[in-house]
Amino acid sequence: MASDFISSVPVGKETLRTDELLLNMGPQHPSTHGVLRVIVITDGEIVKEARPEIGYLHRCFEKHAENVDYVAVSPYVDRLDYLASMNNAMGYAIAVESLAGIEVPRRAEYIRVIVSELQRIASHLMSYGTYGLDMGAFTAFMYGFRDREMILDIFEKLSGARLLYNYMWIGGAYRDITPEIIKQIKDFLVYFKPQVEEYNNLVTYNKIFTERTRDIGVIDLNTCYTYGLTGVMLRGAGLKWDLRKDHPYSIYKEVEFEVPVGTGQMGTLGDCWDRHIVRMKEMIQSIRIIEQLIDGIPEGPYRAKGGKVIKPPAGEAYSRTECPRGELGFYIISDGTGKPFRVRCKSPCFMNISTLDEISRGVMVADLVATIGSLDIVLGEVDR
Amino acid sequence: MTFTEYLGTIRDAALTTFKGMGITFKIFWKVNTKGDVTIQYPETRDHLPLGSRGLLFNDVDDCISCKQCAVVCPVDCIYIEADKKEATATPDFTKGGVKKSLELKRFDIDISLCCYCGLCSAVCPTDCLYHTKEYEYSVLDRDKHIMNYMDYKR
Repeated sequence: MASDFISSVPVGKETLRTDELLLNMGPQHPSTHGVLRVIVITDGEIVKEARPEIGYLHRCFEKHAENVDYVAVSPYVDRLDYLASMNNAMGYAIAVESLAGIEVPRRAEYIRVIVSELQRIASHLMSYGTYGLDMGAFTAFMYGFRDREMILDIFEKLSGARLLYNYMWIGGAYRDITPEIIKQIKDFLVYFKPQVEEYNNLVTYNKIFTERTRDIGVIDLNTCYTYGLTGVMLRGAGLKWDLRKDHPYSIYKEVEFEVPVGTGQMGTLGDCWDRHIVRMKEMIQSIRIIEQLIDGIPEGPYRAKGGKVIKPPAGEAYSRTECPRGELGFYIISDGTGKPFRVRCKSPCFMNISTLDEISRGVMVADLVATIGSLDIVLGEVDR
Repeated sequence: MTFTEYLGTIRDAALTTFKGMGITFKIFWKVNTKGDVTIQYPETRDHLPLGSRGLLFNDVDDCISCKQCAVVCPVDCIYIEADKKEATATPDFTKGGVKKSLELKRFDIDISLCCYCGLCSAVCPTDCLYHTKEYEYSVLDRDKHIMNYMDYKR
């Protein structure tokens, strides 16, 4: 009889057996932004341990790069952070150019900066959209993608591809920018400028959103230094550190922009909301940078002259650039042949995801989703 | 949290949500009056811009078998076989007037490996290898993705 069985079950806290539950989040979970598997050990609703398991998207980028020409590495570089291909390729191009001593024409530098800032907006829009999706705001996702689509249309005209452009070549750009595309970019800026404010009203300052993201996933400066976090994580924690400002590369020292930092407006300094607002503010700064450059693109070649085969002298070079997700580094060793001896990629997402265990202990499972979303990881770059 | 704070949170949530809903309705109205944003794909198609990187095509009549594309390809998906021409054979020229010293026997591209990076079409000296705007070529057999361009010889 069922009633006999129920009465035989011991009642009371002393006799009730409690245990930790191991929960696998991912690799097919939509809120893990790719193929990330988080092994979550929960105590009821509380996360006791969240161990990220990576490697599902490992493609041997560094080994591949040793077997192809310098030019042929750039399609692989595009596939690291596939939401910000332009920024990635720029970092690699800068490294090889400094190794081979290639002078980039001024027109190419302008094109590069304009395009990489557009890509930064596109990447942050994606982050904004998917973060809204994680928080249960589906509309934000649609609006973010609608505007990202306009940037992708510009890139499609510019390079011929929509996601993996292979546009930033060593020594310049793949194709020249035309007046038609410049006009399209200007139209986009006019359209997009009031749009950021609208997004903030829609999601960022929404009370439900702020309640879910404030005081969650707090990363203080000490944690940042310990894990080597860069980019939005560091700025969200309140440190004004932007490579475009502090170690300017390309023509960033000629443009004026501010570095937005987290202020702890809604809760603790360095929480998820601070990182979100830093991304939103960075989009406005990117618009400012493009506006300063778009009218003054100098005439001249868009690619450096030189042979098709790049053979840098033996030596090594390291470049670091500010990508939408942080500081991306490329360390290249050349042995004087046409193929790189070693290409090492320092990925910002890998550092970001490694903090997950520390910052998510003791939070609810639903807040773990909020934390992963605010880290804004791309697994293509974590695993490489 | 006191009871007043609790009530205040509910009030703020309602107010900010209404603000957001206002934006949603504004855009909803705009879409209804100005037409759809979404393109209903199989019925209507978006116009691809000039220079889009779709399916590769090689005009074998203009190809001089220099193999630069096969060398630069990062995934090695271009297979070229060429023989030396006999001395008695009549000289052959491309459209651009470049003499063809080799006779092309095979020019295959495994499209399923191709990553559409555009490096091969950029290095081509006679511009015979280029990207078309074609993007619908799914097949049921993987072997059919190995494109044999010798079939299109004039």
